[in-house]
Amino acid sequence: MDRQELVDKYLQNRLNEEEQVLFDRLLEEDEEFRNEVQFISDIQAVSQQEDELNFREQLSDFEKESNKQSSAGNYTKWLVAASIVLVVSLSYIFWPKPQESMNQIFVEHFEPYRNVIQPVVRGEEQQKNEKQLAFQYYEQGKYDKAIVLFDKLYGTSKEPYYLFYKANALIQLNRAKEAIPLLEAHLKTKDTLAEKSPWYLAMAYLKMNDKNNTKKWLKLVVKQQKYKADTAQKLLSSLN
Amino acid sequence: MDKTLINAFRTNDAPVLKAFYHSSRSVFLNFGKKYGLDEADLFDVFQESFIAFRRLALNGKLDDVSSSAQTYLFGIGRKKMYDRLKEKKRNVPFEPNLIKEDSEEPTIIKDAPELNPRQLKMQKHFKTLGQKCREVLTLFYYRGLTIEEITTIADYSNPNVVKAHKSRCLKTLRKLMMD
Repeated sequence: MDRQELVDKYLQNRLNEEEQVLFDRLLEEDEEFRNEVQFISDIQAVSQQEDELNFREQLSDFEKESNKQSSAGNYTKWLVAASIVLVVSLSYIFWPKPQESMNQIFVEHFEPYRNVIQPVVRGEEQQKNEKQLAFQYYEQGKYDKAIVLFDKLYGTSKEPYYLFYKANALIQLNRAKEAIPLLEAHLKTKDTLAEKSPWYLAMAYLKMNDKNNTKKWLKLVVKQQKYKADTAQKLLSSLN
Repeated sequence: MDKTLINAFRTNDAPVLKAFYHSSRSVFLNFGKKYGLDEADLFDVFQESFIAFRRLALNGKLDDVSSSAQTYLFGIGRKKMYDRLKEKKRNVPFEPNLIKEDSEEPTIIKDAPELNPRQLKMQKHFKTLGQKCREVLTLFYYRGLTIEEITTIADYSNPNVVKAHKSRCLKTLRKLMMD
């Protein structure tokens, strides 16, 4: 039996008694043999990582299929398919290189969600109500001013979308930690924007360099197969 | 435990794995709801438990277990759920269902080992190997398939071709590591 076979058998727990004796002797006396055993053990560890990464992608596919089955027959699926193609092509173009830090990934993926609540019109600021002003500040990138108004407006109206927009503004202002409880609260509401909260929770944790929680929320985004599902799946692969 | 399932993890038999995944998933998510974890946590716990279960299956740790696959998977899930609740520093009440001591359940659930610097260097080179090379090395060294099984699963003409291919891949990787 050649040495390679001996090492292979050892790793697969298939050595018989005689071979075990030989293996132990070589391990003790022969440096080259020790290096070989180490080399093969390293391959085992490295290939485990590769294999588990592939398996995680397979699980995401299982999830996708179960979602497809539950929503089949709806013509909006064509719209979804079209947007997936768009997202996939965009993510292909903008996909981060493997060595990028979490912060770089954040910068490339985070963008405060656009204002879909209050159309902003030009005009004298005094004539605007607080809601119009808040979203105007938000669109202009004056996030600190927007936050103050979102807070006040949420206090009076309890409209859940204020939580969502305030959280977006906070993340943009490097205050991701404060955004998390708001997004968690928003997620529990029936607001139509709530399906987007998991993505922004992932972004908040990404900003905080918290890989585990980033992955946790990205997985939910993939599972829901709604907002940013494909981008989330790609991001998950690059974080693993 | 069901040998067909354990083998399905080794050979990556997608229909069998998918069926097991879906049948366990809904039961687990329902079961977990009452412990106060949010949906994302529960789902994450389920997926991580499923992967941990696979790791045990591939390492031969489930061969002599007599409980059913789903019971065992939920055993892992319960422990992970308990840990997650503790992490969140919630008061974890005594919950017999959650910390049921079953002699057959694993006491320690290991995560995939972190790679040391030498292994990270190897990982970099490993990724540059062709897909077929990565496949044959993974199937043999991590999944523990025999040369004969690899011949069938990876579509080789005969076992000697697999052996020769595996040796060539090892040689290439060894050379890359020395450069």
